[in-house]
Amino acid sequence: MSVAKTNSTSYSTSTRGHGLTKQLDNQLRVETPENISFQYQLAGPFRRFAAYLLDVLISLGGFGILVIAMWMLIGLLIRPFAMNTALQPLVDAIGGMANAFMLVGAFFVFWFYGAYMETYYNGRTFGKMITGLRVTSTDGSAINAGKATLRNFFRWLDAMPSITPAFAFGIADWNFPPLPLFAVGLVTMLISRKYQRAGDLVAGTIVIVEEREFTYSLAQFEDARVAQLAEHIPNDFNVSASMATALAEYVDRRRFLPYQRVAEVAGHLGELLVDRFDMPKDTNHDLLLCSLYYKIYIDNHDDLASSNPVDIVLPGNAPLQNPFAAETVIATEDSAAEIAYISDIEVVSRSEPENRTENESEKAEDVNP
Amino acid sequence: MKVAELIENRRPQWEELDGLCETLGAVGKNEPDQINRFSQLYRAACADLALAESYQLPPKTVDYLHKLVARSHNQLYRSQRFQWKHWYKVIFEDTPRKIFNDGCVHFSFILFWGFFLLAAYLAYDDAVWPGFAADVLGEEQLEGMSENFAGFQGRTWSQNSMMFGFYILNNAGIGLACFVSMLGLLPGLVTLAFNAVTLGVSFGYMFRADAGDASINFQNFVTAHGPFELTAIILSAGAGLRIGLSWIVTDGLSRLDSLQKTAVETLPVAICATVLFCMAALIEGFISPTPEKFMPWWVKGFVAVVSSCMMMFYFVVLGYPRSDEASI
Repeated sequence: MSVAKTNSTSYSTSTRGHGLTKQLDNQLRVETPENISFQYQLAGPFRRFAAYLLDVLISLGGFGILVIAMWMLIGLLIRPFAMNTALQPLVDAIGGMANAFMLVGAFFVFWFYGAYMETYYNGRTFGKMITGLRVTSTDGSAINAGKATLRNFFRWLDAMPSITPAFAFGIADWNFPPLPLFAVGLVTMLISRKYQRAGDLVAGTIVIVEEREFTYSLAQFEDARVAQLAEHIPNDFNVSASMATALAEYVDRRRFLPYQRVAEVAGHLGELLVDRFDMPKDTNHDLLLCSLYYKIYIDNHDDLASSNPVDIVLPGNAPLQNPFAAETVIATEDSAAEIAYISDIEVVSRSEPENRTENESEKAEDVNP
Repeated sequence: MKVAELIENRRPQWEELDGLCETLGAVGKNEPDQINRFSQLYRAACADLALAESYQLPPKTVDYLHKLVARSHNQLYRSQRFQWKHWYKVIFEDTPRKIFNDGCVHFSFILFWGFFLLAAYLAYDDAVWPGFAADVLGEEQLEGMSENFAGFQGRTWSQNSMMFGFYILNNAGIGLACFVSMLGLLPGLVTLAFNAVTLGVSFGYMFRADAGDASINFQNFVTAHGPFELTAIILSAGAGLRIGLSWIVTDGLSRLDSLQKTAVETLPVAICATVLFCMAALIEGFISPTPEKFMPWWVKGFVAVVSSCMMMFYFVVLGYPRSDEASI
């Protein structure tokens, strides 16, 4: 998962300019002239095929509409007016070229649509715009006219072999154009490390996914116990970078897991931490991890005084009732999950402005009671 | 500073940059102050991403920054548009010289004309290999061809223009397909040889003394556009052959690097072939089918001579190695 990715690909030291790339799974790391490296997500065959189908529909459809529009313009609007005038031979001559226009247009759409779009729209055709893809050079720099033309010429090879339906289904008089199977492209994509089809290999290009990520904020806890328990975590406890990452992953995912699973996952680290902090044995592990997250990412040490700690004596002299204890699970699974599980946790995202303001006001109350 | 505060501080800038990626990506002129602002914000986001580890940003935020920086990077380093000055040099200086010196073009020239002349001779002189023409093309097709040309009376304007379109779609398409399929060497060579033999047999068969009217009409038809079309197929094949060889003979580069380097160098040759195909289609569509009584044969011969001279000028005069090149 992305934890492993972040940790195992170390930042490469300064090599200026495009050209330094590292790849792990479907993530491609690129170093820019700004001396910073970031990741691209490579696009796989199926998403790209969807983009291609959309392109075929749009380019052929658009060209068809253009042809029909011209036919209507010349045949239905201009020709009746030019009838029996001096202009008639000219209009007839233009009308006679309709077939030529269609065939030449078909040639250019078939061989040059992709090249034109990718050159002028910075590596994107209409299909790629819709599916969120972009073509770039292998080193992460932008594509140029030559590369765009090459990779689109070689699509003919990637589309091979093609079968004629007449041959495939044994219907001899079915006059249907051959269907490309795209086997060459699929096989080269599976063999090459960066999902490149033959055209990409020849031109030195890759196709990347360019999506907008909307959520980047930290989790917010409504349960007051999270903040309260965080104050009992010793300040000199040093959280390593990898543990911080793991905690963040955990807090982001725990909402989607059933209660038992949360307890199991939290237990691995929770048990060790309870020992380390000399906390009562029955402390809820999930709550403890959330508190640690809170302490690392959200809580400011200066605010310690302003909050109101629960009356609890730690360590050794454990109170009769531990407010942070894991509730004993007696009832059915459903209700147990309701009780023991800190359910009211929300991740603030940009797309949910109401939640954000609500949480922010709550947070403000916490700080200034 | 705690991470939460840091994120809250940076949030407006990140969102502004995200918005600018959208507006600057749209077609049209960009405002200078917007571009200025964009570069500031981009540098700031780069710095944030670079320091993500020491800030201890959570993974989700790091993912977001990766995507934001990638989007902005693609916005900043855009694809280069067509530069006419650069392409003038490519078209009128680099390409002819490349073609003149290209061993692959020479090879495909010899291969094509070798097969063509051999097939034409065998088809013309039935005594050497009796029934050769029928073996290659089939009796039916030969007769169909004879009939077509025997009864050829010229075409109407709209037929002419339709055939012009068809020649571009079909012939230039075949040329590009030949170029592309040469990547696997064998398929491309087979395509080239197949075309050479088929054309050779047609020529040889139609030039037979006993062909009568069909022969005269055939000669009348093929003369004008022949030079452009036959040269174009040789060029496509030669360009393709160079790419096909590049991943076998690598000159010390890795196979992939050699392939990519050669492909970029060879592309202008393929484009040149496509242009020749289009010019051939123009002639084949509108001049070649004009019957003898409207356009005597010598006019078509003249067209052929002029087009040959144009190509000689391009390939030999422009392509001949320069002294300044030799001195370097």
